[in-house]
Amino acid sequence: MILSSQEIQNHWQYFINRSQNFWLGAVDPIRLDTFRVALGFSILIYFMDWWQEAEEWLTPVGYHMSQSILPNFPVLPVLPVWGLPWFGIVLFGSLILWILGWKTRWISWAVLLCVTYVTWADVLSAYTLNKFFIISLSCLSLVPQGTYWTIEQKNEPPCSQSVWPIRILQTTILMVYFFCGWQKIFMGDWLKFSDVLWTQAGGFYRTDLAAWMLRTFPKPVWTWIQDATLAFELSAPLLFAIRKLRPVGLLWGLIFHTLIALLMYKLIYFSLSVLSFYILFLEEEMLHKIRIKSYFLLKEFAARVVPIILVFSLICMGASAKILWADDHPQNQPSSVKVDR
Amino acid sequence: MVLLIVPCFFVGFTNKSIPGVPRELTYFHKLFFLFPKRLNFWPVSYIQAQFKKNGSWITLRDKDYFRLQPFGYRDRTARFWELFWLSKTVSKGRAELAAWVRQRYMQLYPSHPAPIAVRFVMAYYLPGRDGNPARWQKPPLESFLFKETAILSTHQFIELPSSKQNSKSPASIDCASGRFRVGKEKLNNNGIN
Repeated sequence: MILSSQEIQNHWQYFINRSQNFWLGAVDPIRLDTFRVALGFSILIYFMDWWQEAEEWLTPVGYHMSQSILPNFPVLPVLPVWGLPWFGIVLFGSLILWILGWKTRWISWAVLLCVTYVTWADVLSAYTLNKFFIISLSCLSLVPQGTYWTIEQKNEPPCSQSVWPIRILQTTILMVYFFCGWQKIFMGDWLKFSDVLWTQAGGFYRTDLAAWMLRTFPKPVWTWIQDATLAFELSAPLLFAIRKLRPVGLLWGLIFHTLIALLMYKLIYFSLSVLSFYILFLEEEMLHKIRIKSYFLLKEFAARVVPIILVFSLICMGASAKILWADDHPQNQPSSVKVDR
Repeated sequence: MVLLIVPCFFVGFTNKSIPGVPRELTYFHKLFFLFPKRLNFWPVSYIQAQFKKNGSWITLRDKDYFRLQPFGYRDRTARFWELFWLSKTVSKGRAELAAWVRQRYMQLYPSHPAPIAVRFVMAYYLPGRDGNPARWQKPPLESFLFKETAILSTHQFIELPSSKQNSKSPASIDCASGRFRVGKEKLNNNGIN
């Protein structure tokens, strides 16, 4: 069959229109708005954990590589110790306001600046998660947010928005899955050895549950998990892109990230952040239903539970302060390091 | 698209940086090399200090220097050693860390004599060697066999009288040992405490 030039032109036009619609079409902002809230929470929890050692992380109290030993990489200056609380107010304040949906257009830039700063001020503690945050925030900062999940009073009905940030973020996460699997095969050992996961589970990331599983389950079980992981990563683009397969992808991914969070210490933050990307693959009606239900639940929660939590937190803070300031607390004892003279 | 997705495809397939692209941007394209290798051992690092010539080497307490644990139960030195472990050319980094450790020690323990030397020791933890009794805990250096350890580098400082301790005195640095030196340098020569 030979196509006429008119038919070729029609097909070509159809393809261009479909592509344009796919990358730049108009959509309901609910997906991006829900993603913002979920991502905001995951960044908040992650940084709250890091903040416990904020002095080491962001001030000269901790070791920071100088620019002279990393000549080809930007290293931002660390904060003075007195500046730490102020930076904390800006970091956590902007994050909370961003989650609450207040002036999101401007606040998202503040969050992006803070996350970029901590990433390049301490190269030693930044990893893939920081990159995810910066990529996501860069996309979100360029588009209006706070249409549905917001504390601001909106008088006008929500406008639709361009789909491109959603497509970029969806593509990013699917690329991450696929190329992680690809590199495990072609640059790694995942097909060469059957115990790759077993060796990794027994190292620095090993939680109590992982230790129990390592003791209890025979090695072939770890091989099955390894194969399932690789299969998921390589097939994720298909599982998420094909609408009919999407529930399988979402469920498989949920199990995958739950296992990572439970078996690998501190990687719960990674799992939470990646799972927040799953929102971008959910149906809009479903997200509206979740939002309405959450609204009523939050209202009830705020009225009944928050005062109890506040009182309980105050009691706990008082008790912990008493313990920490006690003279016999280990932190207040002189160091146990003995110097051989 | 141009800044992120297209370069990521190149990096994803090849695991190489795109020539000519600034490092600040390349940093965001390297997202995929997560847990690809089988681990024959997990490297565990220790910092030791010496306080007098030919004296014992004291293993310093990690918590005094590195408390934040961004990578599982590892502290921030994990990333440092990824950059400055096997490379001979970037030994300047180790020297900087050694000088910082010494300075930090002097801040923490002003009444103690300053270290005259700092060295970095790496031990090789074989997966399953402890039978996985519970969550990961850093094993004491003494629990490793001699052949399972290596001194990465030793950094000498000027020995000062205790009354004139000066935190800015890193003098000579011996970074000759860029690679594993199992057996070449006698780890137990002065004893590991």
